[in-house]
Amino acid sequence: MERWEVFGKRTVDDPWTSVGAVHAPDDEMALLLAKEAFFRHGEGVDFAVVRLADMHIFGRPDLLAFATDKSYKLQSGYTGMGDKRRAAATRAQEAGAVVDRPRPVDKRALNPSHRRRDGAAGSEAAGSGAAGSGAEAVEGGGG
Amino acid sequence: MSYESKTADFRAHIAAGGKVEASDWMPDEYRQAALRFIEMHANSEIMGALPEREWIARAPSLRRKLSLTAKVQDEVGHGHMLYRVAEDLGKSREAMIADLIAGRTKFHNVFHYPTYTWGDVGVIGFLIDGAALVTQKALLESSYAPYVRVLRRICAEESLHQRHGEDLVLELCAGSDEQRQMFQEAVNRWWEPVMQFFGPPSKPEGDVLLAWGLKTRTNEQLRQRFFDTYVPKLWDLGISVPDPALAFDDVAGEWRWTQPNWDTFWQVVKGNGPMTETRLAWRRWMHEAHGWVRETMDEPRLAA
Repeated sequence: MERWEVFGKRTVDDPWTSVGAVHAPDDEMALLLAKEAFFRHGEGVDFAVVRLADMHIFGRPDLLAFATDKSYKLQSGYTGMGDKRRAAATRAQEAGAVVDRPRPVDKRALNPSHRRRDGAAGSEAAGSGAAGSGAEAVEGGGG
Repeated sequence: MSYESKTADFRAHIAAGGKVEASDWMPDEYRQAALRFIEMHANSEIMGALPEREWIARAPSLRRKLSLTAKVQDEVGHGHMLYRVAEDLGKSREAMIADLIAGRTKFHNVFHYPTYTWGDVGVIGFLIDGAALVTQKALLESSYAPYVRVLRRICAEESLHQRHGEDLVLELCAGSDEQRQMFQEAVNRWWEPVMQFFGPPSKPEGDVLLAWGLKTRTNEQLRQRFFDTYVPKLWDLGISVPDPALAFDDVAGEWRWTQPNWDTFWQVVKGNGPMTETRLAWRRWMHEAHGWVRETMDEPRLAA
């Protein structure tokens, strides 16, 4: 019996996505089995089956692996951004380049020192010149 | 069913958050607006690769050279994916490329400007890619479904580019006084074009793209979102922005800023920017020089 790959669409706007496979003697049976195996719980709006033998498979994982270091193509190639931001902010402090202008409260900052300390309304309140300017390094670095 | 009533149904479909496929019936005005918008996006990806391409040979390290090359390749790929989406709306890819290199169609204002230093590459990678990411993420809500599908992939790659750009900027800003100054000067040069990039504050009722749900955010909303993300980051690096009015207004809950010269903007996008002709001439030359590739690819079809 042949193997059929099954593809579904969650919504009409989605592309075909592989959901699994069935074994069946013909396309009619493959559609029926695919429906019973994968689409009984509102998984989507349409589905299709393709005979595995009709798929042109590349089959050369060695040619997909990077022959040399290509980490510059990956997000993971740019790590340690927080440390780099702090280092650059420290460097800015050393260079005497502090920009103290009204800015929104950084709601995402987990560290309280990353938030504006003057609360909200007044924009000049903080006075120290480091209002909300981020990393501790900025605040601690001035000498 | 009359054209008018079909259009009314279509409008109701869009208003209810419905999506449009290439094979669906659509009003001529929608088709035209979608085509023009996506074609310009495609043009901008192609032309946007050129300013950075100029720096591949001059990149300061092998790793930066490799990452810049990979990025330029991605951008050209985005251009071609977008041309494929646009051509389903009724204009051939060949015609779109011919119109671009003849200067008959537009591309984004920021790609009409020269690059002087590695600092400019930092601005392009961090701020211009950042601005593009803000606008493209908002377009994931667009009513034209094929465009949204291709944008999902483009946004994933653009966020990598943006990360790469920030990495490069952090390296400059943590470096020598000369490096910091190099980046500051580049920010000064590019700030006005970046403000212009988002377009003039648009009136929602007069914007055909908003009316058809092709865009869902106004120019000003996008510009404000850009300020939220990027201005504090620049300030943290001790990099100032050449707009003395730029500040967050707590009461209004939005940024105050100075309108750039919009006449300059219109002049530039109409093809009168400082580098428009140079870059188009380069693109024309590349198109002609590589004509043999297209002919070779066409041969099996011609022989058949």
